Amino acid sequence: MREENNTEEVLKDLTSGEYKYGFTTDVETEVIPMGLNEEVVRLISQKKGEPDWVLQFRLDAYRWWKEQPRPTWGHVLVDEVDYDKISFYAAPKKKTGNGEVDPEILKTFDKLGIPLHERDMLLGNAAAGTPLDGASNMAVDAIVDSESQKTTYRDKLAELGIIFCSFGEAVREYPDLVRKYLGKVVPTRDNYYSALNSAVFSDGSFVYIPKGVRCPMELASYFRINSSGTGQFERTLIIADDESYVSYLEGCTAPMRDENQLHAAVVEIYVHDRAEVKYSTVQNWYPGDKNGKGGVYNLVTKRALCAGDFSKISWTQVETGSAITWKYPSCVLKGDNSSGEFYSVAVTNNYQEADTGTKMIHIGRNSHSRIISKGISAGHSQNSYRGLVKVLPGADGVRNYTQCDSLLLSNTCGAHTFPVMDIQNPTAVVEHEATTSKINEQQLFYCQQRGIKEEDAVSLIVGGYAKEVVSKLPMEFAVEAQKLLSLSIENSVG
Amino acid sequence: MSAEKQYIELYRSQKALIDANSAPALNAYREEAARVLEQEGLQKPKDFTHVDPGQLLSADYLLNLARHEVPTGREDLFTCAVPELSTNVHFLCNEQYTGNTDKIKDSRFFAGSLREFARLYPEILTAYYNQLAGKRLDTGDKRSARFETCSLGEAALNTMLCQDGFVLYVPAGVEVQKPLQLISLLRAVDDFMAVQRLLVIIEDNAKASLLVCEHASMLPKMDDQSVVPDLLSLQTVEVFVGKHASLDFYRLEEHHEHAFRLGQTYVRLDEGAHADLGEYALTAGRTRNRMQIELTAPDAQVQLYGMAALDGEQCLDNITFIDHQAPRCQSNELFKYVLDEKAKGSFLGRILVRKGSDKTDAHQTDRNLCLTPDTRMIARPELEIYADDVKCSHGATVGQLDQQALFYMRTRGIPEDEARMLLMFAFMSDVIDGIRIEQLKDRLKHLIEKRFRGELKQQCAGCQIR
Repeated sequence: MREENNTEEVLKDLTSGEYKYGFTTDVETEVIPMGLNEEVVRLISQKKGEPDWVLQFRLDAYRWWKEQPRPTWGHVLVDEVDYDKISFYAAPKKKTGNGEVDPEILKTFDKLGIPLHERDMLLGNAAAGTPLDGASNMAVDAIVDSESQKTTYRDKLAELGIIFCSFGEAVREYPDLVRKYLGKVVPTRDNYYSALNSAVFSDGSFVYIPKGVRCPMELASYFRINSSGTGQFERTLIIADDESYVSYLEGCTAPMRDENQLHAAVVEIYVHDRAEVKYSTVQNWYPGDKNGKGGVYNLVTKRALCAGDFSKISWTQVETGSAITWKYPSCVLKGDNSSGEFYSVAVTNNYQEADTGTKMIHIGRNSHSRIISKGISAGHSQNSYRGLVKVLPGADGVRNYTQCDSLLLSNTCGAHTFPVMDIQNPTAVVEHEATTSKINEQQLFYCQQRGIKEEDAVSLIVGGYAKEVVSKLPMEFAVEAQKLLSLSIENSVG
Repeated sequence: MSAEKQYIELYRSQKALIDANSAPALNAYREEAARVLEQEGLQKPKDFTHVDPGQLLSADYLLNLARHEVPTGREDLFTCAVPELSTNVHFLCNEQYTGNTDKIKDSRFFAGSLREFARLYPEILTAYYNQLAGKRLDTGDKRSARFETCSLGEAALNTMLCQDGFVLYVPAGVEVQKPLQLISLLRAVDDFMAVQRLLVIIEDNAKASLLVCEHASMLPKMDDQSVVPDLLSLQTVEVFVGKHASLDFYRLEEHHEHAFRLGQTYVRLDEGAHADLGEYALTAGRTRNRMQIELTAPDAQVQLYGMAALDGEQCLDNITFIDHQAPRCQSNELFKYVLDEKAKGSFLGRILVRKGSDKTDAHQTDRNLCLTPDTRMIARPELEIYADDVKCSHGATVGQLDQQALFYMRTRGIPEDEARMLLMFAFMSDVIDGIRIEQLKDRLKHLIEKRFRGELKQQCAGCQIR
């Protein structure tokens, strides 16, 4: 009986694992009227001062998108999004005339622990308890709503020929590069949400690593939705030229609001011969409250093209936020001997729903891929893995290994696995394994027996369960991801 | 005009003829079925499958609505022999039940014509017939409602046109010792569609085993002796296994490239029931099997085996759905494919564990061998779980023969072809090992060996189609 009371208490505390980044920043923001039509697309393009070809790219995407039905195949219940109630462009107005960042914004990023002062970073002055906490060797591109605020260490990186800037700047300053690669990995008409993004995309990051250069520091983008009634549609393009290497991090947060905010991003990565890109995400958009009210709809398209021989892409993601996650970072392994990796931990609690996974398209000979996906569901949440491993006829000697495990922490949540293997070459060796179970009672008992509280024990076991993925994150990220994990599942044991 | 409209029109114009050659208890379902078909239509092909039912059904087929007698007697037409397997053999030619070999009739249970059964026992028929096929399964979750394993439209088409078929009815407490064998033959001299219906009812504490052998004749077309007509079997099977009852149900398919099959099998298991189900395709034309298995009460158990050895341009889709609705149920699914030449296979397996189905033990394995560059295999093993105290797993692999094992055998003087054969045979063996009828197990092993040696041509040795 006592034990039952205990459990109830624990359940009562369920809300205490609060979302830490739910505050808003009070800055004057320029927001264009709500709704989406050709005029809005033109207005966004005009505000960003874009050349005509970008406008045409947007309009082409918009016209196609308008004709498309909204996809419903995900194992999630997405409410109809009313595009007339969303403003597709919002940017903090700069108060000072000399191009400096608004001090309020600076404060916000300080609060989030994102170091926008290069000097501070060196001193390790950032606030505690955030994904990028204490990151000392990192260049950051900070994006609020539709506009990039500041990109640090640009000059230092430029010495090596590395371009790291906001997408808007790239369009203006490196139009040839952008034009060459934009839409090459994720075509405009790839899917409903990528088309929407192509029509209204706002700032994201642009990265170009020249031939033979190994990027000396982690590059990071930090996305924040601040204004209400808006969505974020960032576009990121990473190009790794021959024999280059870059590790790129992405973090995101949003204020707590009762409305569902839309986030539809596109990330394109182009990897040349013998180049390697490591892309890590810690996604912590506002997940909604404990009754499932509010939260961000995270509907993104991420894809990497391993175009060159021996090229390599590695996706690592820790998904803890968002009311709805619909995301499949994919690898097109076109080059011979290219390789793709996908490591994912997705945690859902309360009424969150996640449908996430990856696609590995093997085109090149001897290409290999590895998928490790760990799902953790608690509360009333739904957590799905959806993946595709496709081997085309010309791809000899392909090797794939997929493992997806699900952990259930309550009897009201759901854990699902929807993998597809489409094999058209007899030399391919493709494996898929999946298990679903609840927390091992013996392990739990063992921990408790040694005086570890049930909650800490669960956290410990989950930590061990997710370790295979978290260990792939850059060190600064890994520590925080671990903290985020225990925070997300805090008090969810019942 | 769309295929479904044509079928509905055909039904409306030929209603009197269809009804006259069937039984009132079966006729009672037709109007409703026509309405459902009109509403649902014939399903579009699912992603990642090869067989398009809409396309197969839109071809022009003859139907034997007037129930013309098949020209020859049953045993002259076909004999099927599994040595040392003593079975009671029943014959189905196209959809028509043509008799059996029972010397002494066992009156404890009924095995025979659906039409006859409907005439003799309309109240039993009504309690079971179309109870599974005529309803959409409510999965209790809005998200999974989007997935449909069985097609309501296809089942409605069957119900609308079905005139005869086979029934096995085993009342409570009866144990049928001798296995039953149903030989189903597709035989026509023009493009033909057989609307087959099977109803298997095993009541509480009863026990039976049923082996269905499906063959297709290769008679040439009447008006053009150089071609073989297209034969399509549209089959709906409903299986009920009562409390603590037991059923072995194996289906052996030996079709040729002009024989198509659209099969839907619905199985419902009650408390403590046990079912062994097997789908063995030794040769297939174009086949789509859909299976929906419901474990409705605690402690039910189901074993589902599937095997396919395909070559030429054969293509086979298996779509299975196991629905755990109650606690402590077990399911075990094992499918294996060997694809050769230009064969195409797909396996879509879905396991649903509903809220409250604690202590569920569900496993699914799908292993596939692709032998040539022109084959294509698609595997979709899916788990959907809403309960936390469960043990569920699935595994799927696609690969080729183990080169090291091949090399090892060759170093020991085994010729390459023989070594490959041995490995393929070993690969298939665990699908067959689960069969609970010993003689059938041996026989099947023998047949699979012959199949891999390329000696099997449309029929098992011992079977004769005339």
